[in-house]
Amino acid sequence: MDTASTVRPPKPRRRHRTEEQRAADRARLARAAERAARVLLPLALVAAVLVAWELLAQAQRVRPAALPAPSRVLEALARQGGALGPACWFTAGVSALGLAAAAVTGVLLAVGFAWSKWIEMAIRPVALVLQLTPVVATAPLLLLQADVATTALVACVALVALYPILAHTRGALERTDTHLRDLYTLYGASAWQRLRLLLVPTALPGLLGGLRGAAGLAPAAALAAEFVAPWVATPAGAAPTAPLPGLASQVLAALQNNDTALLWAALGLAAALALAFHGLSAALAWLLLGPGSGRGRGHGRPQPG
Amino acid sequence: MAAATHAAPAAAALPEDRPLVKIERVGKRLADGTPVLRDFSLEVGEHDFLTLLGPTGCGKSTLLRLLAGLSPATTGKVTWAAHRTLGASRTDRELAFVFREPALQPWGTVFENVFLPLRLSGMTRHRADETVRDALAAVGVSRHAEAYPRELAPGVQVRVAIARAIVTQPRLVLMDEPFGALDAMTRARLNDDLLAVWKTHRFAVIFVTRSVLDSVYLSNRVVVLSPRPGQVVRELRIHEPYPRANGDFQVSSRFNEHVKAVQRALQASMLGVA
Repeated sequence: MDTASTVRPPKPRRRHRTEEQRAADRARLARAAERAARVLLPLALVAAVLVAWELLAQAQRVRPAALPAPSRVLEALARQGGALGPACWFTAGVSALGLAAAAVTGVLLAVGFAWSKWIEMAIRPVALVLQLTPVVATAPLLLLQADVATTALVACVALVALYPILAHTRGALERTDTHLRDLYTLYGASAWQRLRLLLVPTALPGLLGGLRGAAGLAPAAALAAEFVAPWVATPAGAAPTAPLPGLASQVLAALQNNDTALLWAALGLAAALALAFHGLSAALAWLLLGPGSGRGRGHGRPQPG
Repeated sequence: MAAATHAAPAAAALPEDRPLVKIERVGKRLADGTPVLRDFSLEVGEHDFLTLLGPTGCGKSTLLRLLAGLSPATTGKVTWAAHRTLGASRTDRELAFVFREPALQPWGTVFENVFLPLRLSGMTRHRADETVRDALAAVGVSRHAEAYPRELAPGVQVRVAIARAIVTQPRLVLMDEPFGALDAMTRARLNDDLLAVWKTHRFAVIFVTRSVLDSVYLSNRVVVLSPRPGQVVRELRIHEPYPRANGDFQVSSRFNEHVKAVQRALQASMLGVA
């Protein structure tokens, strides 16, 4: 290579592109390639695993009862679609309600924290402990309290989602522009004006960030609580309650019937649900804050001078 | 003061101002007891453009915050002209502050940012519209009314901050190095435009800066402070007519002499502690 390049004269180049332009083109290309790789590489990995898995199953190298082929999982998905669909909706609904409850509580608490450090000192550790306590431990207690089991499930999700939302919102409020605070003092703003015009808009990016963190956790928390639900006696009687109509009930049914393909289908749906929640929260942030951060992008062009 | 004898031939003397605020032997200590201001006395006239010049940490910003009612004085007293309600009373709109950063609300448009002081005093957007548009026009940012702060160049952001300050028709505008982060060209343009606004709106300005050139160019009074704890070391009057934007003043020998005088006062203030 070295000798070749020293001996041969450089090839004639197109004249209209300068060295810098070509360097810029190369950099642009490299960035585009990286962006594409960010999406394509994980997809390629998943596809490779699925293909390998399918081939192994076809070659009968794995027991179908333990590891059904992807094609059989898809088949189970189609076969049980009538049951899996509503189950998925139920779990999604519980997750969404839990997230909403956590968002409302989290914002109120964060504003309370910003308002008084004593409130923060008292409540913050409790909120953290509540989040760290496993759902399987809190769910029975909540289920015993609730008349309607679904309420308890929503509460379980809310407990898990509360802390990330609270911490993010509180963080955003802590970073309130001190000059803006002074400005509100200077013009004699009322507490309500301060809350509505300064604190809420400041807190919004934090809330959305927290929501994004909590959204992925919510379906997992809902599922865990659903699993526990049948084991808890209702206040009315000692018999185990009927399984709640969520995804967990499908998982339990699949386990009872030794239907491994259905089990995998339900788990796939649960993962898809978590992904969808994460995506929706990111979309919400994009909608309210614009790409990147700050609101109102696209309302004008940057002006020189 | 040598510089004052070189007064311009016409319109040399400014009409004597009625006092707007009187600061008497004011002292300020931080929470840990460090004195920031000591025995600080100063009187500001109704139409003064007064610059505070001094080494870092000499309490210039502290004095502004104190006047704005954002932090209390430890000792001494601040008396406002009797018929006024200046100070940090809840309905106060006669005082304005331009901070070191533009401090605009990123979620609001330029119009909404300038409307804010009026909104906080309970005015509706409809009633405030004309006042806000006037303030925007006064600093030349009318065409940016619907833009968001981050879409604007730093100089334009500062203009918006000035518009927000003058929208309430204040009697006194406190400015804490408002142009400190800007490049020299933008700064020169803003200096001229600020002087024009000041002349038409007839408010007093207390302007904190670290630039001797800006202090001479902008103000009729330059007050030089000592290092911490801050005290008035020397006051120089710049008896030069406004407008000064024609370009003659800045290249005149009078300008140079004012600058030298201020420079000397500043050096003396620094040496006083060494």
